[in-house]
Amino acid sequence: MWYLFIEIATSRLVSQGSQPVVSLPAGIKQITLGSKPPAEEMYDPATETYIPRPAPVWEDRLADIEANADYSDATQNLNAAKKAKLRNALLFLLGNARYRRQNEPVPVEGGNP
Amino acid sequence: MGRWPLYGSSRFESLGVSGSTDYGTSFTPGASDSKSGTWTQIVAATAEDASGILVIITDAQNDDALIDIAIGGAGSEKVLLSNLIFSGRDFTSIHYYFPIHIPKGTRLSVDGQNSAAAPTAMKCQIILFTQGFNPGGALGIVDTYGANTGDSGGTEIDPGGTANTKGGWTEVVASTSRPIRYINMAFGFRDTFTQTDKYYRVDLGVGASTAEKVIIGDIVFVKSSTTDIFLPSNMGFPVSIPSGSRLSVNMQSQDTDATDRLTDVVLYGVA
Repeated sequence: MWYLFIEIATSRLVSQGSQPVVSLPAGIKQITLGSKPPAEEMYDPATETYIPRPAPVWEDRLADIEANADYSDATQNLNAAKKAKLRNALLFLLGNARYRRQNEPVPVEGGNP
Repeated sequence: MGRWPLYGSSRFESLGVSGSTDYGTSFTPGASDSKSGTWTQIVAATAEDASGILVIITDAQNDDALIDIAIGGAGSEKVLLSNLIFSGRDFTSIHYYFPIHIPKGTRLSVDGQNSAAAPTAMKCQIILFTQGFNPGGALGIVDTYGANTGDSGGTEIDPGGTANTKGGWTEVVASTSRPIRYINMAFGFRDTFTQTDKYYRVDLGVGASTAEKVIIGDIVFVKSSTTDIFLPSNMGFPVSIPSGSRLSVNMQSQDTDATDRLTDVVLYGVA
């Protein structure tokens, strides 16, 4: 069993654990779950339940580059074959940094400024 | 204060490193969250009685791992330090210190498990500090609370979706096995290697749900987009926590991303 302790006024999750509490403090209620929620779920104050955690959203730095005005201007007259080669070279350079999270900065970090 | 004078009785042993180009004993942890079952010797017999141990683990790939340090002869290894969490990216070194007694003549070895399907070798160095290093004398046993061998991580702590607001206490252990006189809190990032620069604050609490008492509070940690690890990765404190205690952690973060804000926590109680 797993127990959630929720602030009644705000639905804020105050505590959670494997043991029930007999005498709850004022303003706190206890919800019993059959088991500890999995990592793929998160507490939702709106429903006072666990809901699926939203999947991470990934952005493609290759798309970031291709949307860059200078890049577009420089490559607009290239033929398809040359654009493909340039794309491959960029993918080689990006390596593991190709994909970023939405709130990660577009420029790849690290190195000596 | 410790009686570990600069001259005279102060000594330390550096184990697992030999030669100017050596940075630790290589060992290959088990793949896909399973211990390898093969202990790699760090030292055949320690030279001095020790009152403290510093374990240094390094790795050069992105992964989560749990590392064991054992004492005892080959084939008779007994785990001394269980499931030291290692959450690293590219090139990471994590140091764990425990104020425990290790007698002279002890054989030390290392094993581990890694989240990767084909982990590369990790490295382990051990530093032992001789008697007198600890002001209160050496302790004896380290209990691990909250490790998750299913994903080579720890207990998931969610700081919640509201920035800079504590997300609520999460139980790490319902009842500790022994009294704790020194505790180490260690953190991992659940194999999430796309972090941004963010601050965290963390509380360690003792007591039943809704009655948690903060014994160490509002410790500031950071995570870095460059390193993708918690800095520092772990921290130890002298405490006095009775056996049978419930331990929990509460955390806040600047990060509200539903996945990136999550951390793993493992507690190591020294009795």
